[in-house]
Order: sequence, then structure tokens, then C-alpha cells
Amino acid sequence: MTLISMIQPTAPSRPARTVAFLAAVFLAFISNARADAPLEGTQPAQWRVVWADDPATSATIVWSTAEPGRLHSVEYRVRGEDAQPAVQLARSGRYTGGDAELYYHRVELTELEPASAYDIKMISDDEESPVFYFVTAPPHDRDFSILHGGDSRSDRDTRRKMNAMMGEMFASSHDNDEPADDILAVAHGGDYIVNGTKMKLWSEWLSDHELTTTPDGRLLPIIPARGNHDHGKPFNQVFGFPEGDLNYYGLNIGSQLRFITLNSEISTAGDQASWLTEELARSRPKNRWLLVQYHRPVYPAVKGPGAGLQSWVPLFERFNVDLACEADGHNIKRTVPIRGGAMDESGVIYIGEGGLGVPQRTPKTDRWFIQSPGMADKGNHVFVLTFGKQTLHGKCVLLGGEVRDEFSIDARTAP
Amino acid sequence: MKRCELGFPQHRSARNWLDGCLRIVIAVQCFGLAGRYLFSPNERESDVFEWLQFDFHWPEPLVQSIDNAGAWLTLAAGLLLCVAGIVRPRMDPESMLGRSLRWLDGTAALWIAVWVFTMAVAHRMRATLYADLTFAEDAVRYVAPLALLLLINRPTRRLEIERGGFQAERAAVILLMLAAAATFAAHGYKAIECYGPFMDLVLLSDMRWTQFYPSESTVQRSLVAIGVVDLLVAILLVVARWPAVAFYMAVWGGVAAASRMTAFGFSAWPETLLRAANGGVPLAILGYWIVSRRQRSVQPETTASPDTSTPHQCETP
Repeated sequence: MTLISMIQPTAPSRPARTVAFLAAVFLAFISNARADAPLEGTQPAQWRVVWADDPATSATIVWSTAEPGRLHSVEYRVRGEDAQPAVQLARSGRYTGGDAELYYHRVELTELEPASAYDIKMISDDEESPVFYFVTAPPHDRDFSILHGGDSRSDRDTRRKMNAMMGEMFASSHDNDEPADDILAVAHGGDYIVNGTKMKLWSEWLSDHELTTTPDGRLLPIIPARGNHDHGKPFNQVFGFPEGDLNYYGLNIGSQLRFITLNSEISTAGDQASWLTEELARSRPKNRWLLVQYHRPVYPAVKGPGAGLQSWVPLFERFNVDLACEADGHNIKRTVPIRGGAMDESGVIYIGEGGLGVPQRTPKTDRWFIQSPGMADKGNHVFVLTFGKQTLHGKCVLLGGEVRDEFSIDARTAP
Repeated sequence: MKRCELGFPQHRSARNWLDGCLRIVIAVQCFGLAGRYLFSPNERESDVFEWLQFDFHWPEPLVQSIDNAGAWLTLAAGLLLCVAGIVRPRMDPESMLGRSLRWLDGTAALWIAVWVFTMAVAHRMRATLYADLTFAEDAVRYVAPLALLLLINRPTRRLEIERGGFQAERAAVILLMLAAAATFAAHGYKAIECYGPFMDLVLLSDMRWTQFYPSESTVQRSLVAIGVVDLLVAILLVVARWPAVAFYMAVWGGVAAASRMTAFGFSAWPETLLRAANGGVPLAILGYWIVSRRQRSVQPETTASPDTSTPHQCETP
């Protein structure tokens, strides 16, 4: 039995408003002040860490160069150790899409130590990136947080501000001794850019993504989902998936969160639904938290429902998924818990629907599933999901820092 | 196989069939459009809304008003086409009222064509998967009202006699054939590419009704076959003009439209009605050919009425 308690937002106090205002001014400043790494020659730029497999022991490092170069590699070693860095050669190629000439370089690091920081340096011919680091996911049961958002396609200025805010949240979450607020990754629900076949747009997004890096060089791993605007070949090249990959996968963050990414832009039934059935059946008994993310909502606050309503929702309910993270609608929503097409305390909650840099639209608040205790609104935002031993705490943070919505979900059963 | 001649189908009953069938198809399409954007529990905004708001950053209230106005006007225009189709034949076309109604009739058809085409433009500009095919895919939706407009604005019978031709009807039939061919070709291409939502239509319909549970690879092969047939009939409709091809397209267009409801339930009725022209336009062409031929066989060719001044032919190639 899942119990959900909703914390209704209250009017912020004057100090809170002041802090929010100062934060907004600060964010506006840093978003303009922080320059992107230049794309020149073989100078590494547009660095990112992708989690699509076991993030405790593996990670995909991808970067871009303006020229093809000859030899590309990553040097890496456990942070703080004096040992000679290991070197791994990259797989490289030209991004497919439009006239923009740009080259990707991808390294899949495996057999890493869990819960460990790794220094990495990307090397393309004679050019080197600064030394960055990332931290592998914990192998054990601990409290932590992740970010979830989507839709960053049509408002670049806001996208940069959102990225800067996420970078700040990411950095500050590790500035204290409280483990629960430690942000480990960001899950992106898709629609990164307006036209997924245009590499020029991807290049802008990739440069903007650099803003999520902390001042001390920590890279925020991304767990990508494909959106309806992300069609075409560049998506897999940008995020280091094999060519032709169908982009549905599951990974564990810690020992008790199974995070499943689905692809609403291909057939939702058939093989994907079969895979999902097996994945959920296998994961549910072993994990306290079972989350899914995908692009097209099945309980949308605007538009009509995606095919996942037929293909996936019965599975979500059968295997008691705890939270479904959606995008696409360009608004904020949190549904009531739903089972069998009706509100049910034991049902699944759906949140979304994308605000990482896109004009927002007014939700259709007459829809039954976003009535109180659910909610809907609009505003660029990101969700902070904090996983505890008993409770999943969710928070919707607007651009500028204001918390628009909070909710909590109790663990269904002890795994 | 009989091959139907394109033009000069001088029988009034054939023309009336074309006119009436197009009016019904367009009205149903308009009702589906209104259902999708105004009435359905899952009503949503059109691509025009998203295009103007997200890509041009127009204010949401303005864009919402434009979008709603477009849907309401389209619904009103669809109803007007129905009313005009019933009333106009009973009126003197040269009277003030007759001329006014004809003007309204034409304006309604033009509006529907313009709005549906605008939605296609918006969809194309939003650059989602296969957006490049939008104009072809939606061709029947905006060409059907254009063809009707040609029929509405055709010369009066007196002028027809003076000019000695039936160019408007000929152009209408050609437009309809090209539109149906374009729509089937675009859908055929997507089927050959195993477009995900098409696969879901098959898989979810099966899950709901027949429960054969075909594998995804089986569905993919079926879609490829369907797509090849779609491309083939698209070509044959234009090149061969066989009634059997139009019949297949009418049936398959209807089945494909109905699959939205078989896959997603009755609540998807707007999606089915919105696609009325997919099967409706081939049906209009087919009926036109059949009625023309029947009329010809009934009326001796020597009858030199104004409506049979040029023989319409269905000949064996």
C-alpha cells in the first residue's frame, strides 16, 4: 500500500522571496558570464557523461571537436590517487545532420569502482580538455537525489539559465554532510532541440550542457530519453548509444532504485512492451523504488495521451511502479495516484511535463487526474527526487529557485 | 480491366454524386477536427498553436484564441456545406439568395481548405518525425474542399453549354486523384519504414480484439507489405484509373482510419473522423466513375442534352 502525502505550497515568506530574487539575478549573471568551451580544431569541448548501463561500474564519456583529428582518448584515474592514469581510445565519427561539421568521440569506461570519483581528461591529438571528474553510482542502499526534467528545445536563453541552476543545485547538494540531497544525475525526458536532425542545434545544446558542470569540474551524468523532436541519427551519436539503438533501457542507481527509460517514439507495444514486462518483473522484487521515464505522457495535462496508456500503464500498475516521469507537454503536473483509470491510493503517480528551456503552456486543469491532491501549473522547472529508506520525496523547483510543488511517496514494501 | 477516362463526365447524377459525397466526407472530417481540438475529453491544441507559441513565441492567449477560432470556424463551415448541399439544388441559382448561398458555400469550402492546409504547414514546420511528408500525407484533407470549391464555382449550365466544356469537374477529379495518390504514397512510405505508431495500431488493435499476439517482426513484415500495396495503388490510381483500385483505396482508407478506434477505444473517434477523407476521397472518385458509366449505358449517346454533350468513357485499355 502506498501512502502519499501532499504538501500544499504556501506563499513564500519575504526572506524566501528575497533569496529567490537574488538567486535569479545570480543565475542570470552566471548564465551569461560562463563561456562555452570553444569549438576550434581538435580542442575537446561539449563534454558529457552518460549513464545508460550500470552506473556503478561504467560510464560513457563523449565530447566533440570541430575537426576530425587523428587520435582521441580519455585519461582517467581514481581521484586523488597518484597512479599513472589509464588511457582508453575513443570511437570517433562525424555527427550526421545538416551542414554543421562536427565530430564526436566516445569512450565507454567499464569495470570502474562504485561510488568513486574519477578524474578524466579528454585528449584529441595534441589538445587536452581541463581535468574533470565524475562519480560512479553507489552500489549499496543509501539516500540520494536525482534531477528529472525534459524539453529544452525552443528557448535557448532559458535553457542556459536552467542548466546553470541545475549546475548550482548539483554543486551545492554536495557541499554538506547530508547524503540524501546529493544529486547524482539528471534524467532528461527528451526534446533537447527542435529538430533532431540538425546538428547545429545539437551543438548549441551540447555547449549549453557544459553549464551543468560544477565550478570544481564535476560532470553531471545524464540519463537520456528520446523525444519526438529528437528523431534522426544524431541522438545516438550525441549520447553514445550504438547506431540503431532503440533507446529503452534500465539501470540501477544504488541498490534500491531501478530507473527505466522507455522510448515513446517507436512502437510502444510489441518488443518494447515485452521487454518492459520482463524488466519490471525482474526489478520489482529487488528494488524499493521503481521509476520510469519517457517522453510522451500517458496522463497529459495538455494534448491527448500517448500509446503508452494502452501499452505500458497496465504494466506500471501490475508491477506497482512508484513514479512515472513524463515530458512533452511544456507545463508542470503531478497526477493523483492512478490505478485502472481512476484515483487509487495504491496507484501510480505521473509527474512532468517538461520545462528545461521551452515556452510553457497553460495546463487543462479540468482533467480529473490533476485535481487536488494532484496539481498542474506552468513554468520552467526541474524535479528533484530524493530517495530515502522509507520515502521518496519530490520537489518541483522553478527557474529562480522557488519550490512550486512538493510531494512524498511511501515505499510500497520492503524489498 | 476497365479504365476510366478522366474528364468530361457530363452526367449530372455523377456530378451530384461527387458533390454530395465530398460534402459528407468534408463535414465528417470537420466534425472530427472539432472533436480533436474542441470536444473530446482529450481535446488539445493544433500544430498551429504549438508552432506560433513555441517557435514564434506568440502570447499563449492569442494563440489559443486563433486555434479555437480556427476549429470552430471549420466546424461551422462543415455544417454549412451540408446545409448548402441540401438547400441549393432546390433554389434558383440566379436569385439573390441562391447567389448568396453559393458564395457562402464556396467560402466555407475555401476556409476548410485553408485552415487544414495551415495545420499541415504548421506540422511541417515543427519538424517532428516524417514532417517532410505532411503535405502529401494530409493532401486529401485540404484537396477535398478545394475540389468541392471547383464544383461549387463551376459555370452555370447555360455557361457550360456556351463554353462547351466541363473543366471544373475535370480539374476536381484530377485533383482528387492526385491527392488520394499522395496520401496513400506517404502512408505507404511510412509503413515500409515501420513507423512506430502504425505498428502500435496493429498491435494494440490485436491486443484489444483478436488476440493473436503477432510478433513485432511479423507486424513489421505486414507493414512493409501494406506499404508496398499503398504505393502501388497510389500509382495505379493515377496511371491506370481502374475502379477496382479506387475501391481498394476507399475500403483500406476507411479501415486505416477506423484502426484509431480499434486500437485506442471509442474515445479516439475524432482521430477516425478526421481521417474520413482517406477513404472518402477514393470513394468519391469511385462513385463518380461508376455513376458516370451507368448513366452512359442508360442514356443513348445520341441524346444531346447539355449534360451529355461529350461522351464519358470507360474503356478497356
